[in-house]
Amino acid sequence: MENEKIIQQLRSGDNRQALQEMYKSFPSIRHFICTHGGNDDDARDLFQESLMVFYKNALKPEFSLTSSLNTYIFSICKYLWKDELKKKNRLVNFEFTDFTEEISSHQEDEAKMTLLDKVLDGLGEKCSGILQLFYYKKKSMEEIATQLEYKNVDTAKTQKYKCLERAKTMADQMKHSFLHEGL
Amino acid sequence: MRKELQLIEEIENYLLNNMNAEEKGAFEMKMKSDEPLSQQVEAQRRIIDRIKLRAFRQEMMALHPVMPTGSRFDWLKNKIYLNSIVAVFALSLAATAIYYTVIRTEKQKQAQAETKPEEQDLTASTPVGKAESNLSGEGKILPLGKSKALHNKLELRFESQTIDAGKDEVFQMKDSKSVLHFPANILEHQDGRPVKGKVKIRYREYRNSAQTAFSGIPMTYSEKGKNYNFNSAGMFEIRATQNNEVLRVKNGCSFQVDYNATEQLDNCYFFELNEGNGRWRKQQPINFTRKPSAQQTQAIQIVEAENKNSSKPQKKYLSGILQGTAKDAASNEYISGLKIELFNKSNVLSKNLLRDYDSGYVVTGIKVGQYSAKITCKGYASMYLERIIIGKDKITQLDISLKPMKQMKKKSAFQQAIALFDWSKEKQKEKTLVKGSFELQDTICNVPEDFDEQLHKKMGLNKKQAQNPAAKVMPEAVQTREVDSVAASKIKSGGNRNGNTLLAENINAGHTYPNLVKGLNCPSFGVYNCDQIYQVPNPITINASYTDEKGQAITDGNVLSMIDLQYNGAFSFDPRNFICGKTGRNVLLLFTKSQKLYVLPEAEFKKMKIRGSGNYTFAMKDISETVKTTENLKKYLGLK
Repeated sequence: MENEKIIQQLRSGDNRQALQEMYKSFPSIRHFICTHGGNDDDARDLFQESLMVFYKNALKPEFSLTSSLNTYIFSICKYLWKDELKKKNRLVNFEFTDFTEEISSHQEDEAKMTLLDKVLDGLGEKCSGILQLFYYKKKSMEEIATQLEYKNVDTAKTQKYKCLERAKTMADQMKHSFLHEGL
Repeated sequence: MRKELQLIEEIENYLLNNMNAEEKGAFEMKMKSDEPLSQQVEAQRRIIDRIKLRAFRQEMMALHPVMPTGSRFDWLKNKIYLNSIVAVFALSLAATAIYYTVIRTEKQKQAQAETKPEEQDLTASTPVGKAESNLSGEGKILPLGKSKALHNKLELRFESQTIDAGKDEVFQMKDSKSVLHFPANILEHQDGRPVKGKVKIRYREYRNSAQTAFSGIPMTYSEKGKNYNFNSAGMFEIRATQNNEVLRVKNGCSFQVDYNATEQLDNCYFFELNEGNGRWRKQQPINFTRKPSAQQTQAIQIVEAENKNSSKPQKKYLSGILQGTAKDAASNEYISGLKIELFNKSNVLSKNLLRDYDSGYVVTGIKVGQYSAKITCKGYASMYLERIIIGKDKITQLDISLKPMKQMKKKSAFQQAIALFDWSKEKQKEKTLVKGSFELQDTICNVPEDFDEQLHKKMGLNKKQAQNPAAKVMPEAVQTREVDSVAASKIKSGGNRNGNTLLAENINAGHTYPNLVKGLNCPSFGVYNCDQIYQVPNPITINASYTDEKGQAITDGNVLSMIDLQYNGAFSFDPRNFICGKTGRNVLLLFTKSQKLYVLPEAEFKKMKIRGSGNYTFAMKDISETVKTTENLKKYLGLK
């Protein structure tokens, strides 16, 4: 499948199709990690982390893939695995290139998101559901109102905004409590 | 819509690019001059981005088990499809060779670590979810599945059992003594094809903090914006495979587990883990019915005495013990010794039995074998059917008809909650919609969170009286008759098990496994937990660093597992930052990336006299050589 199509699928909320396509790279990555001192779990973790990096970038309107998706994901995995091996003081005997900036930025972002994750964890299933359906699955408010059995679209909309408001308030409160963490 | 919500809507329109150029320009100008607005936009953007990213991660984790992994099983599977019978034969030879040269060697290596390699492969492809962070918003969240790899070598082994997918199967696990009930034809392949033939069921239980610590399974739970920790009465994991392919349960089907809980906990619930996002979902309350205390017994006796002397039912009361007789219209025979005990939340005995459960149904009638009784319960008021005894025989099955909550009138719920009980008038011929059969130990309830409070208010009880409402609450309709003793043994047991509230087997004396909780309903394969939830008292946030016994810094900490010995559970954190109770009996376990295991025992933690949040350095003890199994750790920590 063309890169553009996968990116488009991710942007339009058709993530399952995109994931199935992206997972075609996994066997080769698994092989690489397992032949370079890692195991299945390492391979899974690194691969999934690399998909996260890709997904995050794919959502940026200016992002376009210049290499093949397989090469892109492979490069990120290699970089992450090199990083992992270095931390263990293990010998790194393979080449790696590119995307270092994107990965570092992703790693930094992840480190900063602790409190926000706590906020979203605390939102409850109803709120998480409506927000995910709208922002991630790209469902229309009509579809959401039907699916979640809201009285009408306006009620669903208000509920969505209330959930966002709640998340913002909680984040604000936590931010004040833990200024050093930063959101 | 409120002003605040309108602003959120406006920001959303900006972020989703739903504004025209003019509106966008104006909004951006406004942001430039309005710093708080600019911050609000940024905060909303981050929240939305994070929602997407987390959802993507969840979906990815959920899909992982069914994706091609490039494992030896995928390879073998593909080859088998592509080649002829001869090739299959050749491959099986190759597979045998691989098995003996590779897997066998791995097995030998890991035998010490309690784990079977074949089983590891299966679990490796089914992420158990994230190692959770904590309870009140602090501490670092570990990336999903991170801690799993770390604990692999110390994972518990599965017990296995082969069943026939086309038959009803009931079997008891050898080690745990739990009983698994698999109805026929409930399994399917990942592509939806029904499963036929032999299926391998793998099952393991996590019964103490040591086992939980090594599992990396999250032990926190969020509800209504609040975060809780689990105090576990036991957890289990169950998987099914056929020719190494992971199977699933058909949508709408389920299997049941009679689980031998570790202890009887109040306010205990049955939870299912969403393996995609590491979150627990509350399933059913679990009731450990203890023998009534002297005070409670007295309350019951009063109730019985009052009712025996009462000529008219006292309709305004919600609970009671109903004693009566039944007459079988067909045979004209009487059934004696019938006793139905009804309780609601106001009753002392049932105080720990009824919990809010979102089943969507209330009981409207009960049919006992061929004999019927009518028991109505309107609105939110609920009842608890503890047991029915006919003569010396215990009925093992009840057919209960249900009515969806939505159709019930909520108005004047408490006054309307009247139990009608009349065996003799034969009014029970009306048709009821039987939704399912329930074991005797099962019960249905639907109680709002503030049921007690509302009820006490309605009844005009003050705080003190509310502590022992049974002293004031008298039972309702009761009718007693003198009758002959006849065989109730005609009533046969059997049928489906689909209860909503669960009772431990100890409701009747003399059971081998007093903590056995029957009929835990499992709609899918995965991880389930029986837990009491609690919030950590006096929580503090620790920014931690660690040294070994030589005083050298431990820099490759991977996961910190915090165990409070007062509870059954272990909580995984990023080692740099964790939460614990100031007054807890805390033990720290530090797993490093170099596969070492360090401990800070309870006594050492206490010695540090930690009084509040802050930066602390912990002098850890290396126990990598002495603790190689969960059993070792259990003994080391002195766990039961």
